[in-house]
Amino acid sequence: MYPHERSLVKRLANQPFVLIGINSDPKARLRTAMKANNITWRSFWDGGRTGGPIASAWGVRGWPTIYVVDDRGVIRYKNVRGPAMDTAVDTLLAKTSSNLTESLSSVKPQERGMAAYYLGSSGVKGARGAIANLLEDSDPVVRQRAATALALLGEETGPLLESLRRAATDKNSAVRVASLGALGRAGDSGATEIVVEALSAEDPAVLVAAIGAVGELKAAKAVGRLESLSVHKQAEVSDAAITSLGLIGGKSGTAALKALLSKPMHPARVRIAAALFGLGDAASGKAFELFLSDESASVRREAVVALSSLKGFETRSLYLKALEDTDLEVRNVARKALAGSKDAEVLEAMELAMAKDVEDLVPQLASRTTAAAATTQLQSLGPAAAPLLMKQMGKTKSLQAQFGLARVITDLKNPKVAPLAAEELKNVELSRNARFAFEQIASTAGKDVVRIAQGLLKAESSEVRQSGLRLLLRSGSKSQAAGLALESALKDTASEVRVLAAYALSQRGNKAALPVLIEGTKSADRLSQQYGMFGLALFKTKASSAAIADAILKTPQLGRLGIQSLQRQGTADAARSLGRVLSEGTASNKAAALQALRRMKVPEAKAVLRAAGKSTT
Amino acid sequence: MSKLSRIGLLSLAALLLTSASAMAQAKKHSPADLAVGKLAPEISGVDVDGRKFKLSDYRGKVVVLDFWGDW
Repeated sequence: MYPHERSLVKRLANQPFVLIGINSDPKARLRTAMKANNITWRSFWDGGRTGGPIASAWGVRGWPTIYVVDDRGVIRYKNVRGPAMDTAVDTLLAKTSSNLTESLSSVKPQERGMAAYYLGSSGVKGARGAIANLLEDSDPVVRQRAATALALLGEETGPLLESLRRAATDKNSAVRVASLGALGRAGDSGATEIVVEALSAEDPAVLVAAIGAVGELKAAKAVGRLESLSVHKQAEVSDAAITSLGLIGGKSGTAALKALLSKPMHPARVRIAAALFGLGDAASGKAFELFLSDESASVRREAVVALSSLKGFETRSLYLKALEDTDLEVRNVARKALAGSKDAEVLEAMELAMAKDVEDLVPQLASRTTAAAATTQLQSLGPAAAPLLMKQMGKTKSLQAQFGLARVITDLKNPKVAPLAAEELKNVELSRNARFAFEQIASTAGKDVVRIAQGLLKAESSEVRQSGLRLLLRSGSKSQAAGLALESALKDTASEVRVLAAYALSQRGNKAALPVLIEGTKSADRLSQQYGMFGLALFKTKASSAAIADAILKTPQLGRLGIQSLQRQGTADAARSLGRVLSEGTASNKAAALQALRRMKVPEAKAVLRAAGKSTT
Repeated sequence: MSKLSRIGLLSLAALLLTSASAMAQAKKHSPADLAVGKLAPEISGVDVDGRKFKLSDYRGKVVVLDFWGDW
């Protein structure tokens, strides 16, 4: 299958043909399959399953299923495989080309233009003459499309140069842009006059095309004009002018660039120096040292980016300098360039730069507008940044920044940070939020989580012991050691610790938790009440249902949670407990209990409703 | 009924409505619409990188549509 499709795609690379897949695999598998089988064509991703939205809309039941659609979008063949698929496609392609060639003389300008464009973009060379005729079309869009098509068809434009030269002075600027491009690429030295002439155009797009063309034609005549264009107020124009001066080179090009560079503070000085260096002027490499101490951050950014283009130039010391830059972007470029170096001096400099970045970026996590960008940048610093980030956790007061930091640190997957976080958790002074954040990091310790939690459970502070329990809860560890640690925490001196342990045990179905959970619902601590309630809901016993009802009656704001729990228990005891709420609860809890009872299937629910006189409504 | 559960019911109703309209969108084309000689129904979706594209983007070209899976 794949080999045949690969060869079909390859054979028809320059034809108006495309193979589109509709794939029913999960994304990861699709990616692997594409890589392993060298699949270059695009596929719709159909939701990762065989009954995906596209396949089911098209009623596809067997895989693979093939449809062949012609250039107008009409279905022409179904389920053709192997040689039959080739024949089908070739037949349609022949028809497409002749359709398009025919459309070149259509009365509708749009059809003429599109036909020229398609023939050009699909490389149907036989149509070249017919397309060239369209350069004189009455419709400017058709002329533009024809010029573009000829540019796309590339080489051997020889006989057409005459038409292209005429089109280069067309009154429509898009036509001029396309033809100037084609003339430049064709290397038509006979067009030099026309192209240089176009350098006085006002339309910036035409100007840029003309500048590119004089560069490709190495038109020394254009040097003077390019020099003045190099200070054009539009950056794309001045950039193009400098690039073209570099392309023209020779005596006049080099001299012009040097003259530009000698003017103080030329806005494009970096590009000029890079172009000169490219022309073999080694001395201009030295200018980069100045650029990297330039006042303007944008000059420094441009300079550090351009360093990689200076072939054969000793850039190491310059990158080291850039690492100390005050601008993060400059540092990032240098960091990327130096990555992988084993040089001690480089490593030290990179470490210092990282510390600076961390200090710059962490405060940005606190604001919603900058947090996303700061997160990405922090992640790009790599796992080595994680311990540095840990140190910032205590320094920042912002909740957003603390959780953002925890997320970045966890994502960096540095195995060193979980034990560090465990140490931090022993600190009694931690704010509640920092504590939660460190717990998140410590919970990535894998198997070590249980050991870390055991350590925390021995702490004097009940806050720290609670951290230990939350770690066990997060880890979901089913190990015996974890179970024993939880059971002994049931006898803790602090009520919050006991209730948390009981909640964790209730998830393991351990009945020893029941009395402590009941104690929790009676506690004054809101969190303990909720943990108690959540834990009780997991046991379908008379005592648990009764305790839930007690809690609802004592603390009406727990009603919603408690009534849901009872409904979910679904037992006769739960129905009776709801009955108590129905007769003794607050008005809104009564209403909720009534709803719950009506939804319950257990016969006792009906009995309770009848007893309350609510059975018929 | 408490205010809270009223809100709950309303949002449930909204959820049902949206899933119904999503289902209407993914309606099945009849076999007659998929016959040789018929205009191929539009497909619009995303590729593996989440970039959107449509079958009609390729109008002017011959297209082989291949429903495939790697197994």
